[in-house]
Amino acid sequence: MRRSSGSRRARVWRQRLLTLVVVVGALGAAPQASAKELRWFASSHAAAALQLSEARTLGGAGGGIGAQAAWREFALLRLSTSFLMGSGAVHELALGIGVQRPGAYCPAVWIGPRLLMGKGMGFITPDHLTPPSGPAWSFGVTLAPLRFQRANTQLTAIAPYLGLGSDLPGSALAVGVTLLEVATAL
Amino acid sequence: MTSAVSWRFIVSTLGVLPLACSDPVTLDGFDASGTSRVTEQIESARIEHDVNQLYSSHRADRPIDCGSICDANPLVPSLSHDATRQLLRERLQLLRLPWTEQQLDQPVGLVNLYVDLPGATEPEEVVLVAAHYDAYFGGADDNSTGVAALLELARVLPSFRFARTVRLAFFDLEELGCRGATLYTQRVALERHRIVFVLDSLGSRHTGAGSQPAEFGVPWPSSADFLLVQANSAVARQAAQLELLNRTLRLTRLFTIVAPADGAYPLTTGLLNGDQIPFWLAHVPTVNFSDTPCCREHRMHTERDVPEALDPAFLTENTRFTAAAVAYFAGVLADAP
Repeated sequence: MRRSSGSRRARVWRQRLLTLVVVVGALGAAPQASAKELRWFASSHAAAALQLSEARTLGGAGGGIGAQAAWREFALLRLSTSFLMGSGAVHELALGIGVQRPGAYCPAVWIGPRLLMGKGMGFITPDHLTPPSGPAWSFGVTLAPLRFQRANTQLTAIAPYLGLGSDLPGSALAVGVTLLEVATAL
Repeated sequence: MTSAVSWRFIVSTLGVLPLACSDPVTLDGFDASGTSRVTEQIESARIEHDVNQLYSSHRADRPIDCGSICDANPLVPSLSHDATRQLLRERLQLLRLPWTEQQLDQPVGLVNLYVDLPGATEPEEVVLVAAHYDAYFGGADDNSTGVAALLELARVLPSFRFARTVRLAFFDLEELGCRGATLYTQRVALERHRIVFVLDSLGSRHTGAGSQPAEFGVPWPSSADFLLVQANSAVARQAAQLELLNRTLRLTRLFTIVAPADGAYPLTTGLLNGDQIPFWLAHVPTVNFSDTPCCREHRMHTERDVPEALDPAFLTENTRFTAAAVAYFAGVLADAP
């Protein structure tokens, strides 16, 4: 009796899935750089961010630089600054504390505050006779599922940020994305 | 320093909290009775009549002779200004208001007209109110409403005395890149312009929920029943004073956007949409009053921009608000002798 085409297709897909698992596992088991407890990275990135409230809209697209400390390839401490232009021009300061997966494929997540300082579109509201002029702050979470490292280089792509802030009074929604970040171990 | 004051100093210095460090906005020298006397003179029937007359003038007029400019813009053959310009001259003559003309012949002929009501105590300072009188098709809302409002101010304001000079200007060829307003900023000394009000489409209103299309990043009301005040950071304080003035007098409904700097950023170029552009670029405090014609019903620059689609009561409210703004910033003194 001949095997059906359906079972042949299923065998092909099982083979493909097994191949993928082997490749990902190999990436995870790739040789690491010398095992240091604390590693420092310097980075540059392209990013976009917006903070939206009833009283103002700040943000835009641009880029910046940053620094990162990784403890035992697991815990992360990050600091970055960016210049963004879109709805005005702002400087962004971001601090993050989080964790990453050790290995060549090292997705990460971190939380922390962000500040946007500069000019944006303002609106007159019942609570704000003049648009707020101070920094716009938010607190949120960043996900970095597309994050890889090899030897002393780290690459991150499409890492979204979502946070909440306030113009005191009034709440604000902060959204952002790191489009591409390249980091080098120091 | 008390502990409360030192805490505020530390926090504001760190910039962690958006504390307002500027002086509170007030209406210094606001004369409520004087302002009311001005706004009460605005007559709805006259404004409505003028809108209809201006609309008919545009519909009957021949299109402008635009040469090669027509090739780049398919709408231009429907743009007119000659007959309306003549109508304005006749009206100013009837009102016995001497006017000044600014003329440019190339690449497209344009003429600005403006009238000065000299100030009594600070005549060198100018409060300018402007509206463009060229229009596509009949241009009922854009901008027969602005011109009609300005004509009504030309009828009413000479009956009063103001501290500062009030200048009423009819700009040409706004629809071809704010050419008339640009010519004005090139030929007139702008240093003593205290504030400029640009009137551009004042008569479209709808109160249904969702009648105002949403615009990303702009939290304006969902109903199209407000007058948009477009300001920039150079005139933010005056925009706040306009809001206070309106809250006090309750003349119309406002929504104010304050653009950063001169508004020339990628996400704010939508605010560079009228005769305020050359003034913003020249750093002159300028606000634009508009009913967002680009977004409400999409009649702008089409044959559907007709008087029947306007709300006369809304137009009158906005004209009265403009009159109140002029009375405040020009400093209404008393009735003219």
